[in-house]
Amino acid sequence: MASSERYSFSLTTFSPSGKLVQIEYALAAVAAGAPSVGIKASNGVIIATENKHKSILYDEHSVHKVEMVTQHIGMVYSGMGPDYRLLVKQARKMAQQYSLVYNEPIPTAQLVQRVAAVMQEYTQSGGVRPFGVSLLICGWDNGRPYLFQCDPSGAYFAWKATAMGKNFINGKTFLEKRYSEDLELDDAVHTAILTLKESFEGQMTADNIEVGICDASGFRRLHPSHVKDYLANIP
Amino acid sequence: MSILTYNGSAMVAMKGDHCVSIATDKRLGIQAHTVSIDFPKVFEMGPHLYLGLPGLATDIQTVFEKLRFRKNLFELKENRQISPQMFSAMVSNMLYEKRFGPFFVEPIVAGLEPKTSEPYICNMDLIGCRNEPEDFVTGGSASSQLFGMCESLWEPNLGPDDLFETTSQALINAFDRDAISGWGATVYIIEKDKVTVRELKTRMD
Amino acid sequence: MAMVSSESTPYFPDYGTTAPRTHHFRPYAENGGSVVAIAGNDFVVIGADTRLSAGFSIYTREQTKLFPLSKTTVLGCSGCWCDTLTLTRILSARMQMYEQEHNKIMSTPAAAQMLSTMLYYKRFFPYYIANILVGLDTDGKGCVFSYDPIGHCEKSTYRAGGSAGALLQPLLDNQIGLKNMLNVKDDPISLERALAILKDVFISAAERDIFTGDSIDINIITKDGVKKDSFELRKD
Repeated sequence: MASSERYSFSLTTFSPSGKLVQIEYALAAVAAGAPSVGIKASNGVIIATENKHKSILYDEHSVHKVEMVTQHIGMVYSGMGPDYRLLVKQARKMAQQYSLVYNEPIPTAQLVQRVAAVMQEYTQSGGVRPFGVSLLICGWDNGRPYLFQCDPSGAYFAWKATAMGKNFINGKTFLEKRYSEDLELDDAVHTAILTLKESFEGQMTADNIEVGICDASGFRRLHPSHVKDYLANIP
Repeated sequence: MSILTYNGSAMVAMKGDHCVSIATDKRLGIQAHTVSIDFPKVFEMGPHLYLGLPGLATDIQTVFEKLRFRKNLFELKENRQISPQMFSAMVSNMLYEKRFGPFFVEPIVAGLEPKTSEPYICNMDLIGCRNEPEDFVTGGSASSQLFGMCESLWEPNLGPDDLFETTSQALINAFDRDAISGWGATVYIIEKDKVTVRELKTRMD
Repeated sequence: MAMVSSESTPYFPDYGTTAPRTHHFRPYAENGGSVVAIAGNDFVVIGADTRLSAGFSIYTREQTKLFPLSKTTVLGCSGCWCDTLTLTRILSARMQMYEQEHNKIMSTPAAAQMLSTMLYYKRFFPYYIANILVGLDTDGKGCVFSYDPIGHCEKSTYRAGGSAGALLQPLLDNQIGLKNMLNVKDDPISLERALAILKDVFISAAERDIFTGDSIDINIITKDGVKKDSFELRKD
């Protein structure tokens, strides 16, 4: 047997109290990450995140946090960027795999289940660590919107609205107050931006937040000029 | 002689008005020697979904088992019924996986789409090239005879009773002119609220 | 330099030649075409498509495959066209010889028997033709004789042969032979119905068989002689 195999035991092991501390550390990494928000509206679903740069020298609109997975599914994250990009790659591949076999777009719930399975695998396999990200996956199928959160443990939740990352408790409390079932997409974007603003340090501009929208026509990332229009309505 | 006609079979599916039919012969032979006259080649894969597998008998059974496995797994994973369109995509995908060592079956899928109840028929070659026509599909060693019959007998918007008559006549007269298929037939008429299965007695030679 | 390889046969690279190759002589061509014949009590109709093709190419769209042998006998041929030409040339010579020797025109059953003999004569280098011979017998009743390439002859009242034979024969069984039908009266077929079925089956054949199409030549044989008709089919 290869010697590498003999030592490739899982790093995620139970503590005497029954906790998996590695996963808790991963969640801590998420809670320290940039905030992101997702809200379901009656006619679609939106996701938004902060994309602040450390220096003015960064070229803002080249690397994105909001990413499309298929025509009708998109996602965003809080936590570690490099980990996220691996998951995006896997998610895209799984979506294509599905439509190759069934000749039909993957249902959002299916994609979430499969991405979550990958995240779970990284909590039990040898030689790996859990992902340092939580995902917000939004999609539109069966004529209705979907919004899911995927955690490093592989747990996933369906939300009407939620916040993750830095100050997520405040974000959630804010959403609990503002959320209503018959929200329209435009209101949802507005609310999401307000939620981000709750914990935003410095001036919020179209260059340091990202918004993705998913409705019957599919998923798209809003152009900064479009985001600017929404920001104009923020007090 | 082709291995696809080693056991002999005749199969046809037709579209009707809010209904579809699929019909098969019941013979199993080893070339000219008849072994069984009650060999199933059409399988129920759902309330409105039927799969017909004309071709080599051993592959008929293997492919059916493999597809039942995949379909069951899909329905458990996704907690919903598989649609005929998705099912045929799945069949096609599975057959192409064996592109260079294929199963010798040319499947026919017939059913109604779950929500719209739209009729759906499809057939494919042994490596999964799909064909989804508006009228009828044929398969098996009597397929050329079936083409001749269907091309003349089929017409658009047949009701369930007329569809049964047309399908049965097409199948029986076709396999009566094929030495290695026949010996009884089974006809399925699939409608939104019921599926009618009829066993036909035919000449046994 | 001679070398001995590990196999039992010695290997001489300097004296190498390519392996001997057999060349096959293929004297047959498949030129397609379908023939359908239907007999009634006092008539017989025979139709043949007019497409002459080889593989994916069409030689002509207007080649009749019906050959009148006498006033009451017509032969329909499909298969290898060169064999058809030879066979029909010899047949008409034999018809003429018969007429001159016996001072009468050969009857349809006699011509049918002669054709069988002529085909079997070439048992080991056959004419590659699906023949259907039709005519009126000595009682004036319509009759159809069909053959395999080596002279097996069968008398019937309807027959489809040629490239779309497999497609059309079960249809004729059903529509004319009334096979697998319950509670139907077995009335003798009328000329109108025979012609209608003939056209219908060719339309179906042209739909699915690429070797059949363009148009059909129809010969209607009654005691008054042969009447010719034609009908357009799809040309793709």
